[in-house]
Amino acid sequence: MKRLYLIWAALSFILACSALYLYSYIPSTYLLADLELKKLFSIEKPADEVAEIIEVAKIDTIPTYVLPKDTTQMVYSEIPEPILPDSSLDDSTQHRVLLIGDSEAGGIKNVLNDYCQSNGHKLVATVEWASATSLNFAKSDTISKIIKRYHPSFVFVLFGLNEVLAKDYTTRKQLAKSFQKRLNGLPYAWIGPTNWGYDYVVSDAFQAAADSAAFFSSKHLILPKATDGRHPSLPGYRIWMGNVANWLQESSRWKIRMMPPERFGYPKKYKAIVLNAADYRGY
Amino acid sequence: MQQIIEVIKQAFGLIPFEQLVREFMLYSTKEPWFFTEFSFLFTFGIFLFFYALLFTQNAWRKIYLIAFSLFFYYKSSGPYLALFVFQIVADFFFARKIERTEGASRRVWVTFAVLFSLSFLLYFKYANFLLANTNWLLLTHFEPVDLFLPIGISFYTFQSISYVVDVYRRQIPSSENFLDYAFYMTFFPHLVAGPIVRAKDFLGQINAPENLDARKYKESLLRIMLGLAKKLLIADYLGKYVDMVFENPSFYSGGENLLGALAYSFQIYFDFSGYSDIAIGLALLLGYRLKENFDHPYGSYNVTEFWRKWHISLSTWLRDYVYIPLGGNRKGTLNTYLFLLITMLVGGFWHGASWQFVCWGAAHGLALALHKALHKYLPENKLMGFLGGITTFVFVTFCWIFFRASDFDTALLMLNQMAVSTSLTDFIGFWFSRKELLIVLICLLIWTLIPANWKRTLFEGTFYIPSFLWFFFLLAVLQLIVQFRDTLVQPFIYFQF
Repeated sequence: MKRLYLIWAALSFILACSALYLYSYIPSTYLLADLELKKLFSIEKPADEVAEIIEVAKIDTIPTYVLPKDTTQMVYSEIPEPILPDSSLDDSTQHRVLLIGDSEAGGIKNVLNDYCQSNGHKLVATVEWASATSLNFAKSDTISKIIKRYHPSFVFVLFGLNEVLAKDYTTRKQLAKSFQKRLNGLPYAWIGPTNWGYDYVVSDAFQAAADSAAFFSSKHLILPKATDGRHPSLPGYRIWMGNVANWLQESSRWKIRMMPPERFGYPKKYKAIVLNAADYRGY
Repeated sequence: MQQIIEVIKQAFGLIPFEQLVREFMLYSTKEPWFFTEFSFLFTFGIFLFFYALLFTQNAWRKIYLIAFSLFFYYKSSGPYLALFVFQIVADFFFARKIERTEGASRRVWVTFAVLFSLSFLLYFKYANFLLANTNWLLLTHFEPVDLFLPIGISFYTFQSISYVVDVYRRQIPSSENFLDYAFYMTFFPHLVAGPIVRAKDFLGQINAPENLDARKYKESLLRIMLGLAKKLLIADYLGKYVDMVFENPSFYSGGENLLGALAYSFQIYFDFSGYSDIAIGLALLLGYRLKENFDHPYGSYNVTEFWRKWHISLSTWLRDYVYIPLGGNRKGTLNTYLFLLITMLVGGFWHGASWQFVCWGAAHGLALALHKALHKYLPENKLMGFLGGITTFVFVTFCWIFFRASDFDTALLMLNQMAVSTSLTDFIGFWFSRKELLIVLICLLIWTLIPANWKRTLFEGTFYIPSFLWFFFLLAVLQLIVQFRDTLVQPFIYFQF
């Protein structure tokens, strides 16, 4: 009897924690008075199971780019075989990485976080500027302030999806150039927007504004997309990042180590900044 | 019911047991073990179950608890476990030696033992500070050493010093049983961030732990739950805003800087007192009583009272092993003030190897001396008490700026922003942009004003809840934490000291 409360206390901890752990592994989510009961953690599939995820994701995604008559023949891009880093790359270089971009940056940030942590880099902050175009990035001083605040040693830039219909090549190039100056000489990797059937001038204009070999055009990739028809789905982001990672190690201007992550779902330790172009200084 | 069983079966099928066990057994620099980790709480539950079975077997119980404590330290500090064990063994023999010797050699042994303990702390914590200042003074170019501060070294060093000094002063006999001494030093609830436990308070309890009755069961669970909530819901929430402001004060108005300092004042209190609550609660479950480390310090009427209520285990340690040996109040008024200043400088320096901590300690030392000089001339009434309380709180908050800022320039920039660009509109703007934070700060200020005995009554009122319901209480609090905690759990602030 003397130890009754001690055993009950032990069981209280074991049962309470087990309940929370088990709930995290249950695929469903439950509600309590219209409030979603959050889980302790979310289960992420390891990288080698991504192919299986893509198969499942096909149900929830719609094909884009050129739609073949027989959609069963649709061929998506794949996560490429990793290319071993250039021998000149210093494995011990650990970058403070900043990600800047529009809603596609919001989608890719967790995948980038996995790559960064797995390769010894630190994703310090992400800026997800919803609905923003090169106009916002060029004209606002927000990015300069954020760079000053977080002192990154490497910047990922990813925007353009909101202006794939634009046809004013010269203006886009000028805006992109103005934005590029805001990076203040920092090494960067500028990733072009994904292609969803249109891309009149934007990727070309950004490529012309960026330093040589600092721009990765995503036009050629056919990624599984979410049901909004624009943004890639989670498997899409992983395929995309896989291609970007190979380019970064093999042929980009500022090469950094970006081998595939050992697993997905690293803890999210970055500062996530979310802005909205619709309510920010009218840009 | 069938459906529930199916869902649970499916969930079990998804658990990668082998991977989890592998990750659990290894030390990870990226994910060290804290009390706030759910994996810790779960493991603690399992540990406690077997502890209950071994409870009456004194020797096995001690060995079992020491083994778990060492595993806990390994999960927090990895390879530095070896250093910790080495220090424990050495201190045990030093104390035995001190007890057996007399006269001058006794003094030599105690000096050697204290220097031995301090040497690790000085090397790991102050080597780079020393190099940087040597470079600055002598224009040398020594490269900083790449050092990782073993977690808890400041705390367990002070514990081992107090032990050998107490043995030297003949206040306690040295422990004859190595297991008892190892138990005292490694006891995991206080191991990595205090409270700093004295051997004279703890060694006597080791072989006679208290039985857990209904009241202690409820008290310990409540302390643990309160501690978790203080840390994960309040301190971490405030910490997000504090980090932003202290990182670059020039981006924020004077009012925002002011609220940043106020938020830090509460963050550090809820962070550290939350840790202490968890430590005391865990120890109580195991049958041991640790002394209180906080006693509503922000309700203090003056800075002397504040130091009687804030980080009590450190302030009493400094009193007994620095202030009194220096001479205390026995060597004249001026010397008393000087000793107070020196004691607080040591306290500041203990917190970290930087001039900001020294400055923070000096400010508190001067305030203590000033209060000692003036308090007999001040009238004692309610109004003075109220004014004293406000002054103390403002002073303490002001000093925290130097404690938290990454360097002197940042601290001065914050003060400058507060002085030159604070206006009422800052607070109106703050209300619209960060309403929730302002509400939390106002609630915390009100909480500070509530008398301590009211809070105690409220605390003890929960003991009327039947014991079997406390499991659901614990489950609800843990889910509440999952629901509202920040995705990024920050380490306890005092882990860095």
